Amino acid sequence: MLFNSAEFCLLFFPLVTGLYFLLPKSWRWLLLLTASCWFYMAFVPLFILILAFTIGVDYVAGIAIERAEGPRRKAYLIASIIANVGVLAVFKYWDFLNGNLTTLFSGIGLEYHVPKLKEWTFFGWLPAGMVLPIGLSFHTFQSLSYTIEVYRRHQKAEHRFGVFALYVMFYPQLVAGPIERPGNLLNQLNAAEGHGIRSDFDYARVVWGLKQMLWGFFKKLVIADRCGAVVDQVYGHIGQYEGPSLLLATYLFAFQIYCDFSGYTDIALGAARVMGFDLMVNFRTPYRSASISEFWSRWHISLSSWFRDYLYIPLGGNRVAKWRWYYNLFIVFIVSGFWHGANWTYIIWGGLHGLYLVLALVYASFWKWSDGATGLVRWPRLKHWINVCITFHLVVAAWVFFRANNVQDAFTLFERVASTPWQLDDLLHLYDELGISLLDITLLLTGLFLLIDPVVDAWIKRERPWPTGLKGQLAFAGMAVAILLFGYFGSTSFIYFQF
Amino acid sequence: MGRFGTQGLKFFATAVVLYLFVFFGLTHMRIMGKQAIYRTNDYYQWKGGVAYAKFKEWEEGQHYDAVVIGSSHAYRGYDPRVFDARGYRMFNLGSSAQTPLSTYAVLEEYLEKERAPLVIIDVYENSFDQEGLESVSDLTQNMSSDRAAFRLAASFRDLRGMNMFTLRMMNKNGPSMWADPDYKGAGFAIKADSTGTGVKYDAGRKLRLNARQKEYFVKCLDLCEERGIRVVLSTHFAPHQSDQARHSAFATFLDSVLAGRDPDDRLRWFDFSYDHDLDDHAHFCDHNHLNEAGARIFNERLVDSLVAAGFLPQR
Repeated sequence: MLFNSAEFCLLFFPLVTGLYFLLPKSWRWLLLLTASCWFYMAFVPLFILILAFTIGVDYVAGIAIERAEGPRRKAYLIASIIANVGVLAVFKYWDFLNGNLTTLFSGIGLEYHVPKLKEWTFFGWLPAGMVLPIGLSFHTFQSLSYTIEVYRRHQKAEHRFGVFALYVMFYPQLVAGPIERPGNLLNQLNAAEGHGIRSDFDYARVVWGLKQMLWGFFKKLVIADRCGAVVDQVYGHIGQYEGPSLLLATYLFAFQIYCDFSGYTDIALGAARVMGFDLMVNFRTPYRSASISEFWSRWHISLSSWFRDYLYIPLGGNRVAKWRWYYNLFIVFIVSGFWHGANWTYIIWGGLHGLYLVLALVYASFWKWSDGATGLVRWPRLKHWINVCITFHLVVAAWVFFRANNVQDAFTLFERVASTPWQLDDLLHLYDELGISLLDITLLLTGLFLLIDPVVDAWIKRERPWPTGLKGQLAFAGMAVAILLFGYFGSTSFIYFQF
Repeated sequence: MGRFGTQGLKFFATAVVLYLFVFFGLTHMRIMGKQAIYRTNDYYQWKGGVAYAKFKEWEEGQHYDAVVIGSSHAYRGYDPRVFDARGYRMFNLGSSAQTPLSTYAVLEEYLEKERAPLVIIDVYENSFDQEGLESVSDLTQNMSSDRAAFRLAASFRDLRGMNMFTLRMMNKNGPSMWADPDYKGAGFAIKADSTGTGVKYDAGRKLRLNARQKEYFVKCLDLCEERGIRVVLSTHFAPHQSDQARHSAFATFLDSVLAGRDPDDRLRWFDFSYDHDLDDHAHFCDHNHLNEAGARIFNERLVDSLVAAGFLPQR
């Protein structure tokens, strides 16, 4: 079920939330679990079996790890990792590996034919070409974090199957995160006495959650999808556009993906908050980062911290020889790219970020020297904003690979930006083609301004008090009216659902 | 809970006032002669054009032998002047991208047996594989009846329907904002030009019939039957280079609908799509619309067929 669907807004959310507060505490976990199944099965019902497999394996593994001692603990953990990664390998990476093997074998004159998973319809139960279960990478990683934490003895195994299933399936963050940790979500689910789930109706909390949801809808419907209309047109026909349009679409994609994903996260955090749960913060105005490493501490925080805790640190982190440190960083980002999708474009995107980080470390002394040589060291604010600008552009350049339909398209874009004549006609042609009105542009600019304005973000995160009285009412109602009047409605999915 | 309810109502009231205030401002503010809200999100359309003119004309209350309804194929392809020359009075209620959902709203409001005993519904695959935003947008602005516009906006089951109806009410007393120079009267508009050489034809796009359009198509047939209006389904000439496989898939669907109807309805589908010798360039103005020369040939053929099948009397 999409958050931006009428089914969610008018039926699912009010009904589930209403029932949540009406039911006795001891029944709430069951309600949330049932609701989460309904939410997930609204996409492709059969895929819930894959989720059930992951939950079943990790539930048993958690208890087995807790009870075992010595090498058997590790064996159970490895079994859990293999099962989870195996699901990902089959459903997400099979066709990619298969395709690359086909190319490789045909290159050396050998015949290789293994059917693509996309050709399987599981006896007609699934539509052809639809094999990636929604949000697979998210709930697999969330489930994996549980067995790893139990193995590390940071978390007790959960013995109630329903509560563990709810930890993996909690609907607000089921399909696109944040990727929760048992120490946060599972403990909240267990916080109340017995089988109950904590929290009663708390006016301030409910309103806070609803405001955050509204801000999420605004980002998704008014900004992300508006940007998406331009981006889809240009990236769908890269060869037809010239420098100005290609650059415009690329910058807009940077905002589209941020608003789309952080919009989703705000809706998820808000929906959970209404019921009394605090999910992990996933974004902290990432485009205001002054370095790539800062960017990754502000962008998709739940994923970057997952990789830090479960891959980067086990690889040795930075407590190793320098070359090995750089290698660790690079590998983590390559894997992160691969986590996003089974396509070379994502791998290059991850690799570019890894490269940025390694280069920043390798040339650290040079950057320091250049600050002194240019005198920037005496102008810290100016230096900060120059760094923000450089970081933003590096991130945008990497987004080209993330968004392009294939690697060839990405290189074509760079080539055309560099080689085609810069004429305003190209932009006017795009403007005509898309039928963009002056108001569309005004809305977009206003939205982007709000987005980069840290004040709104601070309101939402409650780091600053929300304006009160008429001003507060108008701000809040204004957001709702903007969504009603200028939202892009229809069946636009969230970009991160595909992962 | 009580506080939540009170504050919720306050918020709702503020939002409604703000919504109307912003809408009023945007519809009454002009930028380079255009309403500020015009074309935003692609569905805030101007009042005016062919649909506006035809509903005004229909309100004159005349009697017709037949009414044609459907998408742009209908209002650009079925020429009342040819019917007139053959002694029949025809009015064209077709409109841009009209889908069965919109057709139902038009039939429900405007068509009675006393006005026209025969309705010719142009059936075209592309009007069955979409949700119908373009048509709802056009008709909510341009139908002459507020009631019909409201029904259509509501039946669209989308917040955009509410916005489109609000826009209509904001423009209620305002004049039409544009006129289509192709409009020839009696609901008909035509282009005389022929296609150039760079025409792109749809090819290989799988037909995905929209469930609501299928449902409303059957409702249209039922409504006509209820009102005692005879129905003819017709598909006008298509360029030979257009996607014939897609049309075949559509034909399979339509045949199944016809097979399920009561034989007493004497429902008939005249599928002229590829049954013609017209030239794809000389007789069409684009990838799927007839030009004036093509429309003339098509309408002669249609009238002959209707007379031969007894849908129109010999004159």
